Amino acid sequence: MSARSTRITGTLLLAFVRGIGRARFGLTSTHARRAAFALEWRCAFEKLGGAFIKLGQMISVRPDEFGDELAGEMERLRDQVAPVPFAEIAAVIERGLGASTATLFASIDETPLASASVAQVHAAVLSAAYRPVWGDELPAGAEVVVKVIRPGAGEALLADIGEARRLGGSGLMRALLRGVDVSALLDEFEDSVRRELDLRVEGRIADRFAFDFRPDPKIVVPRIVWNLTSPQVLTMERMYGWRLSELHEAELAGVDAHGLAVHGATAFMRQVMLYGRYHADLHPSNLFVTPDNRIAYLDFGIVGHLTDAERGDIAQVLAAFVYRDADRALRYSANLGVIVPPEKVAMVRRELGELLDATMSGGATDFKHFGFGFLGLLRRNGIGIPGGYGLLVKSLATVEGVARRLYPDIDIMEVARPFVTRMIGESIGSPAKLQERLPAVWRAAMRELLA
Amino acid sequence: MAEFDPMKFFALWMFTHDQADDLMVQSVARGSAVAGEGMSGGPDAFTDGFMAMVAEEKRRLKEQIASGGAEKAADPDAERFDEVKFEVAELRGRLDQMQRTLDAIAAHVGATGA
Repeated sequence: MSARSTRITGTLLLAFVRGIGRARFGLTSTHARRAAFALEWRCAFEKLGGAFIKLGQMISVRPDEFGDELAGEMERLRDQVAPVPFAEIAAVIERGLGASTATLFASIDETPLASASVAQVHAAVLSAAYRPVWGDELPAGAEVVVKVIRPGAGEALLADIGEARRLGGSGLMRALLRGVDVSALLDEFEDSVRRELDLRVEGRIADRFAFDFRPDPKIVVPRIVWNLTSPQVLTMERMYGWRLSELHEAELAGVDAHGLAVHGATAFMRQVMLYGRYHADLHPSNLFVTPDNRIAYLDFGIVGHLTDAERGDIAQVLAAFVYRDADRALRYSANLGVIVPPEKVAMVRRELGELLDATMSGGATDFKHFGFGFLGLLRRNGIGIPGGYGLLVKSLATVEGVARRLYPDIDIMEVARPFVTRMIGESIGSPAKLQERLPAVWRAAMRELLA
Repeated sequence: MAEFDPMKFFALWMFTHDQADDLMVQSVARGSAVAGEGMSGGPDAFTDGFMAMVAEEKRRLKEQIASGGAEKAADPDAERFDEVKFEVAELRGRLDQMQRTLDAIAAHVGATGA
């Protein structure tokens, strides 16, 4: 067993033992017990670093699979590690781009702006103008940031995944993670890590977002400098602004927090329902409020994709949530893979109706409470939740949280209402829909008239 | 065969129209109520919400007609042209990046003398 294997096994076992103690040997409520273990797992993942940070981030967007407590706790995971010396970072840049940093950039700051488990970010200045895929030209002298994969990060991450596979097969882990398909999860995780290790993927997604949001002057996405980019190096426009934790300063500078909260939530609805691509990792550090009253999206590591049919079904499910229509929610959720067995339909429908009335009526709604409650309701009834469905619910809850940090009284369902209503209304004009539904409409009208 | 009575025909037509109009006005009023407070929820709530939106569209249309302005429809050709511009620009980005990779390989080969 390697030193790393021993460390992983030891840290996870210690977390488990500490979790038992923190949960008072199982004598607390289910929620308190889960929260206690979640805290220990999060601390252990932070200690282990590497792939465990990434795994924690993935868990944080999957409350459907891991429960609210663990997903919520993993949101707090700090991805900050000691920086790699600049000489090592410069070597990666020079190997990837084929020239010295002095030749490639007018200047580059040796002190990193950020240092995370996979990549380190340095500020730099362009030595020559560059015409990006979308937007105005970046002139010579433009400020950029250079994101660089840390040397050895890829190998270490993949080795950790191998170790996680070994551990996942052990009896203890199988018992701890019962109900979770560890092998499928690790396959999905390995795919996402491999994608993240190729920074060109993130650059292409950023370009696509910039294009999607071209009619919206309030949304800004950093422009990518492709001739200074390789799989391990991503050079992009530098963004200035305030993180959501610095909102007070932003408001003092005259930023319209309410307007931006509504606009940000609307932008998310457009991503989901119009473009079929959405930023699925919208935590407060991936978002800036700029001095010119705009929202800057950063870090396109986790992006959800939707087909046209899924967009239509999601609009219907959201409409069901907005208008508190449990039947509609279950009917269209089934199209998205949430299949309720016939013998459970009546019970799930009743519980969903109660949840909708409790969280989505009377003044401001609470989508996070509702969304996680709904996923919990499905889980309790043994109903499988497709990954994409859970990711979307979690993303909406996150958008609500982010918007509320900007403006505490915002009602995300009020923002969604015109979107889903219009989208479903417009679908009436589709010839396929008319052909499908008109016979039933005619029968219903005649039945009423002739009754 | 009963004789066609235009008066009865128009009266029936007017009655149907009034009934539909009354139902529509009520639906718009319910749909315009603030969500959660005025809304009852359930399948009919969506219809009410939709009717309120249609009424809003009608109000805008009336204002537009009154001001003599014409609605500026989205130009599908401009949309398609934008898509083509983006695809070509994306390709250019990929080529820029590939050129950089080739330069890096050439520099590496030159440095190692391979």
